[in-house]
Amino acid sequence: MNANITVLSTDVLIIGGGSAGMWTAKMARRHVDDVLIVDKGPLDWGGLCSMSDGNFIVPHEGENLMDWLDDIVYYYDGLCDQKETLATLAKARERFRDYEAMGHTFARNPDGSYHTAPQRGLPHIKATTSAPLGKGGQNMRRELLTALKALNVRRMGNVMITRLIKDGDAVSGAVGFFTRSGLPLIIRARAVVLATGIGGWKTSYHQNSISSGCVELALTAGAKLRSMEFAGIWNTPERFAWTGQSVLLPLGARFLNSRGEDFMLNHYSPIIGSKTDTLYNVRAMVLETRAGRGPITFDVSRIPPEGIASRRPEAGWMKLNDTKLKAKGIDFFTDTQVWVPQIQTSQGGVQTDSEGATCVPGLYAVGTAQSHLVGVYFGGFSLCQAATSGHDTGLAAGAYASSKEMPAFDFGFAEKCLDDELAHLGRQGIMPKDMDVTVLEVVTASDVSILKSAGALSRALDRITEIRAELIPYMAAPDSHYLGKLIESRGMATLTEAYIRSSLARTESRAGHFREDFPLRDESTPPYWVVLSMEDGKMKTHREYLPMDEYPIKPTRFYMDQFNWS
Amino acid sequence: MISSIDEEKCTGCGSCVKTCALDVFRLDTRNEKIAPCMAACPARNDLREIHYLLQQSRLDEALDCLKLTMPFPALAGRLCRRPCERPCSRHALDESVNIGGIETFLGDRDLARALSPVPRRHIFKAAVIGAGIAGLSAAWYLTKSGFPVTVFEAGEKAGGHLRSDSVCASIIDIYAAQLQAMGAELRLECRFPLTGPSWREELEDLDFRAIVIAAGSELKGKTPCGLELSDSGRIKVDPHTFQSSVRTVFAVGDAALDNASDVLSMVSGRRAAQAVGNILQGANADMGMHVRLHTVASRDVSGMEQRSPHPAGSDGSLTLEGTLEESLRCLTCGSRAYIAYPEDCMTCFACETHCPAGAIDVDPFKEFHPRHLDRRFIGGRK
Amino acid sequence: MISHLDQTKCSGCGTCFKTCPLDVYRLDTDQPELSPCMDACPAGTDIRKVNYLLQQARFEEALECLHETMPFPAVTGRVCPHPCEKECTRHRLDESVNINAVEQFLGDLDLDTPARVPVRRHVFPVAVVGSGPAGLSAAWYLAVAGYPVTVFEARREPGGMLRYGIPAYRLPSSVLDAYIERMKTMGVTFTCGVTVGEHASVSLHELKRRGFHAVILAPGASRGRTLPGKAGSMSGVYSALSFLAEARSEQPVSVEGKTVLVIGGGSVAADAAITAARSGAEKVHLVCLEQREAMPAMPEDIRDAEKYGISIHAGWGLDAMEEHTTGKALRFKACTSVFDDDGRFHPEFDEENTLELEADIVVAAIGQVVDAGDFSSELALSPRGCIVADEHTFATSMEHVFAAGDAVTGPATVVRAIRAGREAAVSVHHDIIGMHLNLNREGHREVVAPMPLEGLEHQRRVNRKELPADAPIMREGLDMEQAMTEVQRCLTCGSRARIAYGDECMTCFFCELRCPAGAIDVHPYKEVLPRTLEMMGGSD
Repeated sequence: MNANITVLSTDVLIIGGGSAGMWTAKMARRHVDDVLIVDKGPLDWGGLCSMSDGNFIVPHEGENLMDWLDDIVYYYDGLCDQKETLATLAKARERFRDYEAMGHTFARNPDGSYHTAPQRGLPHIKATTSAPLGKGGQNMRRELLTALKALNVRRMGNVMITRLIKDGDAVSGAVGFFTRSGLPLIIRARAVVLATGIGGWKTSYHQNSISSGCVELALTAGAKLRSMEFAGIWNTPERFAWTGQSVLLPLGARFLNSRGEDFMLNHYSPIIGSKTDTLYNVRAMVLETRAGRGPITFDVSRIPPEGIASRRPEAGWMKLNDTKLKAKGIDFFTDTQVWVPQIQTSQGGVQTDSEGATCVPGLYAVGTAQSHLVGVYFGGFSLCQAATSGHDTGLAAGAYASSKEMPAFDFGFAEKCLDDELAHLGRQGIMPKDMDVTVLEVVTASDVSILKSAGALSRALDRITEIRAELIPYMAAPDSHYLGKLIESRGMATLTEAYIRSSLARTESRAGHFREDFPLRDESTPPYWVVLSMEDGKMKTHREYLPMDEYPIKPTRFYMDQFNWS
Repeated sequence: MISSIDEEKCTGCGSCVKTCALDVFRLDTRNEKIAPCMAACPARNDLREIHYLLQQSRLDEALDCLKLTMPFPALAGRLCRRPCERPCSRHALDESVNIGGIETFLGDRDLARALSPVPRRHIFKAAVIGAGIAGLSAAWYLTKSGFPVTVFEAGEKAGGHLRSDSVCASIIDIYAAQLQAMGAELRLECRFPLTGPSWREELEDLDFRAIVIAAGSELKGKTPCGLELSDSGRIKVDPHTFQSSVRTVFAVGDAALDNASDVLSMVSGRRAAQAVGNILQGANADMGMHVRLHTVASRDVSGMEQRSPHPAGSDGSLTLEGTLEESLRCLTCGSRAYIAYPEDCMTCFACETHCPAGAIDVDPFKEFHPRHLDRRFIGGRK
Repeated sequence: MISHLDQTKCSGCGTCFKTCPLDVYRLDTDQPELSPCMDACPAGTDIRKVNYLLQQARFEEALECLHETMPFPAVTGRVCPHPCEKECTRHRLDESVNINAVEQFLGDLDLDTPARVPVRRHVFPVAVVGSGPAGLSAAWYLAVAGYPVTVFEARREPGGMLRYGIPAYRLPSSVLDAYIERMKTMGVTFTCGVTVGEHASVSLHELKRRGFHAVILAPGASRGRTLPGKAGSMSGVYSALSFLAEARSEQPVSVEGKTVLVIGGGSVAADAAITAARSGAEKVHLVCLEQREAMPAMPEDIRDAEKYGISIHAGWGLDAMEEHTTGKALRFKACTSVFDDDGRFHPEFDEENTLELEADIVVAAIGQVVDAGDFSSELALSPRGCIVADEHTFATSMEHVFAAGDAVTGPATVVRAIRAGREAAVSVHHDIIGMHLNLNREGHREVVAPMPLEGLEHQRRVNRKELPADAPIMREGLDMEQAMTEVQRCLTCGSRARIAYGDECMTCFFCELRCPAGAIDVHPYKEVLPRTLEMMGGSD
């Protein structure tokens, strides 16, 4: 074997060092001695949780879980994995207490009760906020890391995994390389956990490297993806970032069209106006713009002065952002900004059972790499689900690994996979950034992502096929940094194809997925998931019906019914 | 979008490189001024460069860089008293970087290297008397430069006084084997009577054009024929080139130095090898050996995040991930950050907020992305 | 034996490098400070490095270095006013290095080697409007970077001023055509006969619709200024640019046997006058406002004009022109000053002092104007009608649209336009790939202190051979031997010598003796070589 390859070995390999991956590592250590986390970002950066405020969905003492589940089933228009969601809600309080035991501070009201924030106008769901404001995510990262260091969990940064390796049907490890040197890596493991997130389109809301996630890894290993037709579509000022719209909207901010009309309240969303998921606001923005009433602006003039004072950034990157914008003559709170939709992340994921196991023995998925979202989002759920799924799957993966011998490893195949990837190195060819933008051009078309239709989706599918045949083979990486980006770009193209195919397969509108040619729910069939897998080297979708008989809540009211899209 | 780094303010701590999730930054470690650790290092290892290469997971380049000045890092990591760690800038922040641990890790990687014969570039042979670490060091550098080298060792095995330690002995055996794999000749149980009248003629008859005496302390007080002695009874040598009073004869290690540490012995071997190479090519012994070094000022560590050292194993050793993590604690004093991949910036401000020197400016305007509202998809090439 | 070279004293003149027969020395030309010629070069060319590489006969590397800033050296080697030569250190010693002729040599050498097709690295197409020097330069650098580029040109053939403004005897069409062919081989598409603008055949909006992710506007300043009043519309009166453009066409203006009078004192006027003389005019006058020493034309242009027997009347301004049956009668008044105290163009005249001349054809070379009217509603324009563009990034008031060349600066030189085209290409790359426009731009660099001249040998400059007046071109380029001889005269100001092959030294002391800076120390002890007496078996 090539002497240049570094070979490592561990009991449980966790790909991705965000909060889900860190929780998995922490609990896997209960069953095994050796756990290794690899992340494509800098060592210990903690992934996206380090950028979050640390809001956490948790039903406190006295809350009725069924009420919360009912809220979610309603919000998701019935497309809710109720067993999974109930389990998450049930375990949330344990994880919440774990965080406090690790030293985390959640915000309290003057009377000592936890400070909570209602979500999306739903009656029961509440996110508990962290203190101090803006530091919650960083603190969670630090607390988890302290725990991992005490447990001697091994961690490496700037490692890109390119392929999972199997022994027969079961997973036996992975191959990859260091992104700053190109040094190839083989990692043998008894169990592998995907904690990478599912991917997105690198559209920089602010710091994120959401690109390819684990789409290629999962599909080439034989795992299945679910709900790939859903994506998180944000809206944002045209040229710069600004967080906090979900707080500003309840304070009185509005989206206005070119006539100064609050189009959501006036027409599309008469009941709750624009205080809803960005996805619904974005749909209306597109309709208004198509009708010639764009551009859409974000109007803050109705926010009372004390509201503005409470939202003026005081620290961190938002403060820097605000200061620099002012130097350019832009004052967010006195000027009117043009806002535009921007697709961010996929909200599909790898299909797993209740323990986070995929259909590939030894392969698990946690956090946002798992499928549990349907295109609409409420604050605090990601951190909650990352903790609960990471905790439980960590135990499951650890138990599995401890019960198994180290699988045999196909070094020949692993070397070949590495050679194929590293062959791109040192060559000149199409640059990854160009590929990213080319793929983005396909998916940002409003009739491919926001107001979808069969015609546009079919043409988009042709274009993605063309891109994969005519551009991707000509990509090259002058150095190992670019090789990492190349793999992300390629993964984005794969993710985009999965998105388009799954969108075609759901011939109805529901939750985050809207078809202009099928604008209503399909009542003629029971609710289904769109599941996507590889068959004979091609992506294929099929429907799996939700086991509604086994679910406690039978959906009778639907969040989408309050909107009017005509 | 990342806009600029103020070079005047940047202290090269690498916070931006270690923070940026998109990998926008790199460090330029070339600086005529050396870091405080480098100034304290008796071998003048380029610790700044070595640690930076490790931060970049360029393991073999890091080892190659170390070997330019330290031939046997697996020994130095274990034997050196680590004067580098005391002036380490991190001392003022939390604890010094475990420089010795990192060197030992690289040394163990070194021992695993399979070496092939070095292409012959020179004809004239050099003889090294004594296969202690000073002699082996001289032999190493001469062989690497393509000279034919023969090492004469009186004992059964190489290693000199270090053979008394079993760990060092097994390491030396590996290095001696590597030396022979590179093409040097090692003649064991071969004693040269240095105090006899004709040792130089004997070596000349064998066609050796230069001689490096590395016979250790046993020569003390006894004058090898024709050589001047120092006041302490060792062979008198030039402090830079280790050239004796005879042009083609050099002396290193305990044969020439008083109270030399093991590291200094190895350094003397290296310097003598360089000087031998010079004279065998017809240049002066000291050609290229006079370099004046200035040290960079010790840095201000306020505003930096504390990060305790990676725990070492019971024998002080570090794992791969431990070495990588420990190297990240190095503040690469005297380097300069630069924007290497600006097109990957996602305008998150993390670099600017983490920079302790306030040297980074990120423009709040982001790059243009294709927009949803621009157009509908009409298919085909756009 | 060579012992030491004190780099703090070394001025980089390369005397050691050029003297040592054992080839002990090399120079390091990558230094933070610029040589005086580099500072003066509008293209930003590393002349020092190019010349040093050429001194070592490293032709390919010299060309590679030159190409970093100059894509068309065979053009600029023929037409550039070479401000570098005025600053050349040798100017103070004997004569400046013939940098321009060396550039022409390298350019011609380049055209002899096959073009290399760049790797496609990018997928987003860029449109360049205008194929003059700025547009061609922009297209070149984008193509080299791996972008798909389409150049839109209004006229029938590409080249702009290079074809239609500069006469063929100065820049033969074959040279320009060779570069156009190379660019086509490199993948650049040329679309001629198409104007771009709001009311033209293709609008900026249409370019965007066709999928171009960025546009570089380089339409130039190709409209010649006309004479004021009714003089401008008389028959037989031409603007210099039309006169020169038609000289390249099937139907040049007929001047056989006629008297031609050219008004203007710059290179364009000289070009028009010489063109007339070469085309068989019986008498050619050149009348300009400026005094002889202050004429903007290059000194060699003026010498060339005199070689063709052109009468130069310096210091006169047109007062009146009348059409008679025998031709035109022109009256000029003496010009006492051209610029006012603030440096603005404000000629003053002595009405009493006049000059009368007659001519059949009058050619006015009195300046050019930018014709950017077709962008007036979409882009910010300056009061003079130039496209407003940022001086560092060349960004216009419209996103993803950049502008370079005469259309931005007003009429200027070919070399300046080439620089602007290159910088605009860099901006387009930054814009498309998502980088801040200000990043990685060439910053300010200090100029090295003037080199002391004592101790430097005088050497005659090698000049291009003048050809007879009826030859198709005026001067022959240097051949390889001449170019290499001339380039040895370059003092590579600001570089640093180093001992590269110290073991070759034979202790002859020549380097130390010749070094003007006293920076070299040769140790008197020589190396020990095998000796006869030793070989006889005795001891030393």
